[in-house]
Amino acid sequence: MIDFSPLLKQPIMLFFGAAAQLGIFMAMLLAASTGVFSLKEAASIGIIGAADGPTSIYVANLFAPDLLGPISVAAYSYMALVPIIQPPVIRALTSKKERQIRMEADYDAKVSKKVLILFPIVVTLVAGIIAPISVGLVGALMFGNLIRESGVMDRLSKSAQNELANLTTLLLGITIGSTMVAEKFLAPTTLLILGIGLLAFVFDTAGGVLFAKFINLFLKKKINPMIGAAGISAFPMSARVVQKIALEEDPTNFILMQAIGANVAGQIGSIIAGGILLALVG
Amino acid sequence: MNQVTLEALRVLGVGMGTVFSVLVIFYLIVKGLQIIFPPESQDEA
Repeated sequence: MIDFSPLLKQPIMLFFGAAAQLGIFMAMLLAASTGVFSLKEAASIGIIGAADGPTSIYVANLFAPDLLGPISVAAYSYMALVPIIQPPVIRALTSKKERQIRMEADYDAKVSKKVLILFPIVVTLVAGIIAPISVGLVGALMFGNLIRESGVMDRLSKSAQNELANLTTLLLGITIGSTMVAEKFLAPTTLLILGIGLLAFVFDTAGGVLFAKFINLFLKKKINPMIGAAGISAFPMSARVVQKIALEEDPTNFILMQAIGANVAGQIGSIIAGGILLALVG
Repeated sequence: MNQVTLEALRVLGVGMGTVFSVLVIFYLIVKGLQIIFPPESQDEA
């Protein structure tokens, strides 16, 4: 049900959606290096870094059903804690001068309705050709967008955004909660998963910020490196965090539009990363 | 370094590379679609 127009107005933001997936793979590497988890379990833990509840559940359910409870708890908890996790990492990796960089935004940029409708269809087809196993993830996101953008399924779109989303959330919570029996959940591995999950979000943020700083080396018009931190899937929380820090540094600096574009890119990047992980490890 | 860690390192390299490659393809798709279907006065979002 997401609106892709902020991203389609500034498609360059797609690259931040890729860079901020670093946390997924770094967390997987950390989990694997502990020697406690198999590669599939490590991949399931890594996917916490997608900052995307459904993607985490989908991958964990396929690769490590026994760890579904702790992984879901970690993913949803850290998504809610983005305003606490991201600011210290952003501040540690950027100077005050960098955080004050202004970016021009074309608020009147237009996107054709045909592009808005074709984008989810083409992306699903391409993702299906590259990694067929990812179609379940990519297709679900793109289908939600398509019924919204088509403009002819208003009733279904509203149901999907409200009643269906609420019902699914309730049922997901109850069913996943029922798998969290004490023998499995109250174990040292749960603490390990929570710790690695936190680091996944830190690496996500660092990956996005450092990538923005790297491409700034080649640009005349500099990008505010905080935009890179918004390349995670936690929408729109991450973009709000970036805008809040920008305002703290300079009350007249508005980079929300760019941050939202990167945040939408993060949603696409996270499901692509999830699909690639399924293809590589499965 | 155990075998699982080595395999995870390989997945890290290939995975990040593939994510970037796929999103570069999506970038080109968006640019291509915008060239084929430029915004019109009555057909805008």
